[in-house]
Amino acid sequence: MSFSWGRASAVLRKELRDYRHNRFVIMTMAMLPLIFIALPVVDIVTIPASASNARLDKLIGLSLLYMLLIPAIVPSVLSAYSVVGEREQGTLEPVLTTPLRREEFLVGKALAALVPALGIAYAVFGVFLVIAAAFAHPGVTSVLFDSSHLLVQLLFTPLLAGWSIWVGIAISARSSDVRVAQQLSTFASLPPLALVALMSLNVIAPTLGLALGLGAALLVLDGLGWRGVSLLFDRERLVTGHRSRPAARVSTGGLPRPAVGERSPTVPATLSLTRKWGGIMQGGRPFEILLDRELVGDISSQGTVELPLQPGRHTLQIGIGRRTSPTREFDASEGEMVRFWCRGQLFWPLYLASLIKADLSITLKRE
Amino acid sequence: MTSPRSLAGPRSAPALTAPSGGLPEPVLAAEHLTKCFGDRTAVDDLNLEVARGEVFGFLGPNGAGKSTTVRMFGTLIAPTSGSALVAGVPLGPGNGVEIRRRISVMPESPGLYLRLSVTENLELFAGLYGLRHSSQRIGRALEAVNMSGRASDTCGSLSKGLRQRVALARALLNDPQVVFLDEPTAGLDPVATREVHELVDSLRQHAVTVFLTTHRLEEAERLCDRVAIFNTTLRLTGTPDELRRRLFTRALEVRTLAALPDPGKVFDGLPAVEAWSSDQPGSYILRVSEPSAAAPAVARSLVAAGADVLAIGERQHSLEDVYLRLIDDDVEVERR
Ligand SMILES: Nc1ncnc2c1ncn2[C@@H]1O[C@H](COP(=O)(O)OP(=O)(O)OP(=O)(O)O)[C@@H](O)[C@H]1O
Ligand SMILES: [Mg+2]
Repeated sequence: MSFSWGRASAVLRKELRDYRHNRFVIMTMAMLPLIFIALPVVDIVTIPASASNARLDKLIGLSLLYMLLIPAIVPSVLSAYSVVGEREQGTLEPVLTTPLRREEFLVGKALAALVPALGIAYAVFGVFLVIAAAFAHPGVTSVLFDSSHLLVQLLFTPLLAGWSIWVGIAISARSSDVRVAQQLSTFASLPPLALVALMSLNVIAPTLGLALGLGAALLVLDGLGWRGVSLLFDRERLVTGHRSRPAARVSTGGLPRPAVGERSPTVPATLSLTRKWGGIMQGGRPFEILLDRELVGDISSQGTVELPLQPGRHTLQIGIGRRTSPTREFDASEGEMVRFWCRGQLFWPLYLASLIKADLSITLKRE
Repeated sequence: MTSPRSLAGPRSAPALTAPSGGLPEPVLAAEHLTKCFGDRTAVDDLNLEVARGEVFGFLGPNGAGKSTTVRMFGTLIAPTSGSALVAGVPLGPGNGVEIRRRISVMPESPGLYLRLSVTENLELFAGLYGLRHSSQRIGRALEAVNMSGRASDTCGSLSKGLRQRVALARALLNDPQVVFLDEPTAGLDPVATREVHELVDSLRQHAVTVFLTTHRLEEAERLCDRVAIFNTTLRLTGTPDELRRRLFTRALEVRTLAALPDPGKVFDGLPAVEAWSSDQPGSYILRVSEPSAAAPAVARSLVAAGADVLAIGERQHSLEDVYLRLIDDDVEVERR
C-alpha cells in the first residue's frame, strides 16, 4: 500500500469546504490581498515618467516584493490553523483512526493552504499588472513587463508559499493555541522573503541566473521543510497534544517534619517565589510549583508564595502542562530565605525555540 | 492517582483467562500490554482475548485507562511494552494502515467538523476509507442511526445526542470487523441510550466484534457477552454470571411467614446446605454450592417442618455488586 491521492484529496476537499464557513479564514483571504495591493498600485501609478532608471527599478522591485508577502503570509495563517484547529475541535482522533497516512494528511493540508494562496497571489498580481498597463507611464510598464520581473514573481510565489506552509504546519503540530500558532508562523514565514528582498532592492544584482539560483535554493528549503515536517509528525503527539510530564502529586514533601526527641530542632529554611507580570501565558492559569518534583502549589501573576523547606539540597521547577521552566537546583541552609522569581518567556526568539525545547517557556531565576 | 503497581499488590484478583477451548480464534488480543505516560502507568500488563462477534465490555472507573487502551488498539498511541492483535493483525508500526482499514473507533467526544454538514462529515470519512458508492453507504449508515432526516444539517446545530449518533454512523461506514466504542452512551437520555443499545445488538447480529468501554454497569450487563473489570490492571474477566459466581458464594434466600421455631433442625440435616444464617426473623440465607439442586430439598424440609414458605430463590448479585467490590478497594487505597 502506498500514497493515495484519493485520501489526500479527501482531506483537501474537506479543508476547502471548511474554509467557506470559517469567518476568520474568509476575512484573512479578503483583507490581506486588499492591503497588499493598495500600496503597490498607488506607487506604480504615481511614479513620474521623469524618474531615473535606478529609482524606477527600485520602486518596481519594492512593489513586487510587497506583493510577495501574500504567498508568504496567507498560507502560513491557513496552515498554522490546520493542526491545532483540528485538535481544538477534537477531530484529529477520528481522522487518525482511518487508513489515512501521515504523508497523505500532510499533502492534503498543504494543498489546502497552497491552492487559495496561489489563487489569491496570482489574481492580485494580475490585477496589479492590468492597472499598471492602463494607468502607469509607458516607461514604467516597459520595465515592469520585462520578462525577468514577471518570471521572478511567478516563480517565487509558490516557492515562498511552500516554505510558509511547512513552517506553519510544523508550528501548528506543536502548539495548543490557534492564535499563538498563527502569530509564530507568520513571523517564521518571513526570513526567505528577506533573500528575495535583497535582490528586489538591487542590493544583490538581480540577474536571471541569480534569481534561478535563489529559486533552486528555496526549492531545496521547501523539500527540507517537507522532510522535517513529516519526521516531526508523530501520531501520538498529535493526539495527546504534548509529551507527558512526570506525574505530579500534591504533597507536603518540602515541609519540615516536626523535630522529635532530644535532638535540637532544625530551623526550617524558606523558599520565596515571586511571579513577575508579563510574558507568554500571562493571561492563563496559575503556574504550578514543583518542589523536588512534587506539586506543592501554584502561583498567579504578580503573586508571591513562601514555602517552608527542610535545609538541604532541593530542586525547583515551574510549569503548566509541557510548558515549563528549566529545573533549578539550590541549597538551603538553616533559617535561610531562598528567593526566586519567574515569568512567562518575554523574548520571541526564545519563545519560538520553546516549541522545541519546552523548558524555555518560563524564565526561573534566583534573585 | 498513585502508581498503580503499588495499588494492585497481592489483593488484585487473578484475571480469569478466556475460557480455554470452545472459543474461536481471537480477533482482538492483548499480551502484557502496558502504557506509561512519564512515570504514570495508565495501563499495566493487560492480557485479554476477544473472539470474533463478541460484544466485550471494558469496565472501569474514571482514569482507569480505558480510553488509553482503546487508543492503543486504534494505533493512535504506541504501547510502552507488550503486544496486541487487532482485527487479526499484529499491532506494529508497519501494520497501522491495515489495522485501521479493518476497524473503526468512536472516541469519547464525537469529534465532528462542526462547520460542515452531517453528509459532508461522512463524505470525508468515505473518502479516507476509499469507499465506492459512498453516497449509498452514507445513506445506509445514517438510516441505521435514524439520522436520514438531518443529513444536510450543520453538525454545529445538532444536540449532543444527535452528534453522538453521527459519530456512530461514521463508525459504521467502512463495515469494520471490530468497532471500538468509547463510552458511547455518556450523556445521552434514556431513549437515545436505548437506540445505541439496539445498534450494538444489531452489530452483534452482523457478527461484528464490539469493544465497548463504559462505567455504566447495567449497560454492560445488558449488552456484553463478556466483561473485563479494569483499573489500570485487569481485575477480572468473564461473563457477568461468571464474575458473580467468582466473587460471591452462591446462596439461597428463604422467607417464611413466621420465624421458624428451630431453624437448625430444618437446615442442618440437609447435605446441600453448607451453612446458614438469619438476618431477621423469617428470613434465612443458606450457603449452597448448587442452588437449583438444593432448593427442592430445602422446600421439602420446610414443608415437613410445617413452615409457611413465602419464597425460596437464589440470592442475586448485580454486576454493580461485583464492580463495587473490586473497585471500592482501589478507591479506598487511593484516599489513604
Ligand atoms: N496524554 C497523556 N499524558 C499523560 N497522562 C495521560 C495522558 N492520557 C491519559 N493519561 C492518564 O492516564 C490515565 C488513564 O486515562 P484514560 O483517559 O485512559 O482513563 P479512562 O479510563 O478513559 O477514564 P474516563 O472514564 O474518565 O474516560 C489517567 O490517569 C490520565 O490522567
Ligand atoms: Mg475515557
